[in-house]
Amino acid sequence: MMFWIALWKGVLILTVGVYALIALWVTVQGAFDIRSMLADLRARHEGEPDA
Amino acid sequence: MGFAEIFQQTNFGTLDWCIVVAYPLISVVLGIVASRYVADMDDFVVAGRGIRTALGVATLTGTELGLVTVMYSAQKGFTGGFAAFHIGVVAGVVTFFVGMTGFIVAGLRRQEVLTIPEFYGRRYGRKTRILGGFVLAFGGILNMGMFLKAGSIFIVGITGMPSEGPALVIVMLVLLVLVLFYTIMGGMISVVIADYVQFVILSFGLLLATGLAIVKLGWGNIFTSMIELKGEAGFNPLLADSAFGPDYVVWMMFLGLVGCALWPTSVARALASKSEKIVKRQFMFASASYAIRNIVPYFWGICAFVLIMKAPDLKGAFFPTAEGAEALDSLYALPVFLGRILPAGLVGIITAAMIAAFMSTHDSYFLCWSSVITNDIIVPLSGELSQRRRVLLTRVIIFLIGVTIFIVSFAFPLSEDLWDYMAVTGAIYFSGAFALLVGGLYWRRASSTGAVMALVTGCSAVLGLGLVRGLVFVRLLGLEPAMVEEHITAARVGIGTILLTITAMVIGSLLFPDRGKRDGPEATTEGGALS
Repeated sequence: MMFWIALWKGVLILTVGVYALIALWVTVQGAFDIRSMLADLRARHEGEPDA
Repeated sequence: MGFAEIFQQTNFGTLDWCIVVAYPLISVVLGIVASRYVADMDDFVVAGRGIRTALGVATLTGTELGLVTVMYSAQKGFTGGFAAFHIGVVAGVVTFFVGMTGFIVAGLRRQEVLTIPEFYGRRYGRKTRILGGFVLAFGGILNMGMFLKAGSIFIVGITGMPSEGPALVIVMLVLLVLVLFYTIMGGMISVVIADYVQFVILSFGLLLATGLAIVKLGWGNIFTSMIELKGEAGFNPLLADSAFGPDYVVWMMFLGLVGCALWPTSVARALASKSEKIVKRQFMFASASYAIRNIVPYFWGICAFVLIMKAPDLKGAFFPTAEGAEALDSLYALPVFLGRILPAGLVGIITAAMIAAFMSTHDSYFLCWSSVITNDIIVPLSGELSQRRRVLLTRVIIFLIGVTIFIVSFAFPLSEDLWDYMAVTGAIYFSGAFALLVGGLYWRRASSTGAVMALVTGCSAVLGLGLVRGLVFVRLLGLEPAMVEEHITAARVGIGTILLTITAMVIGSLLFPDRGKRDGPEATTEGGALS
């Protein structure tokens, strides 16, 4: 049982730690991605007649 | 102590109500703004295929870390203890593998299809596309049937509304109207922006609430209490007397693959990505999210279990000892726990994050099933429709799906853990889809007859539902209920269905290979795997 307890403790600490880092990166980079996506969409439909 | 008194002991107050009411309004505004960018079906369904990595990770997590995920995971942690962690670990490892290799998802992105059945159409022909679309929509909508109820149970439980009476129905209606409105307005563009906002709020909310749960209960105390209450069965998923067992673990390995590479809402993100390279990177990054979306809520469920077992009033409500006494549904464990440990203000932020999670899952699911019905059932049957008509039709279908899930929430009595219900209803679709996608992408001899046989065989997964198992094996076949309970488990039915669908695909393809022309205008290959 000690193996499983140590394993799940490690898993919990690792996943929470990694997730915190990913959350920070996605928060910052995702905002720039939204700006780019909307700019792409605007550029794609510029000059097109209404669908 | 009655259920009403238990719910009233929440820290949820006026400030929290203000936060909860204000947050969804942001999503409504987003829907209105995003609708300006929708010009055609590509914009509506895959956001013009312009999603980059970080936004892809946010939207993938936003969709897959829904309130229903939190609810069914917490319930699994509550009933299975730390042993439930294996489900999250397996999901993370499998998703990372899919990201590294591009297994299934990269091949699908290369085809530039809008939906999975569209791939069926190109590879196997029109009839397979229509049948595949029908099976997918049926399994998917049934799978979504409990989302609304689970979400409403959370809100009723955490805010302290009475569980008896009309509160549950009113909350369900309000949530449904809200999410229908902004999904119908903006399609995928509003979905990805809303998913991003939800990701930010939910991620930091999850981390904060986890920290608070550890501070309140004590890191060491959580583990020692679990040892005391459940013993080794609370940690080792391979033990027969745990809530799982070896066959369940194998079933979860397959579900890990399904969750990222076969489930249409996940695949929709791959199809909406800018390139194959981004698809792979997105899945590798999101593998941590796939693990944590289960592991953190399991941990909350475990903490709820520890708190409830140590509080006599709560223990009496969830595990009554008096004969004939009604137990409180284990889905209420999480909201009751969060309502007690989180301080005022923070409980409102977490609830808003959960409502956001609820909405971001619903919007993607609505969009996914409706686009399948439009593109893969109605259009192939009725002939070409203009882009404008397709968007309108998809919006009408989103509304009809909303009405359907509202009815299913009432009509279907849940006789198993919510997660097991979702796995079984999902299997109606994904058992067949696994054979069709893998066969279509990697096996040149996979034929349309094999595909149809696999799709039809996959529907037998419905036997995994407790209600259907009772009806078929006990009532119709006259087997002993105890024997059915012990030997014909949902996991075994699921694994059996997958093996059967693969067999059906192989036998059907070998006996009835495709020769020359296919049955529809979409066939683009002559029996070869698409690459």
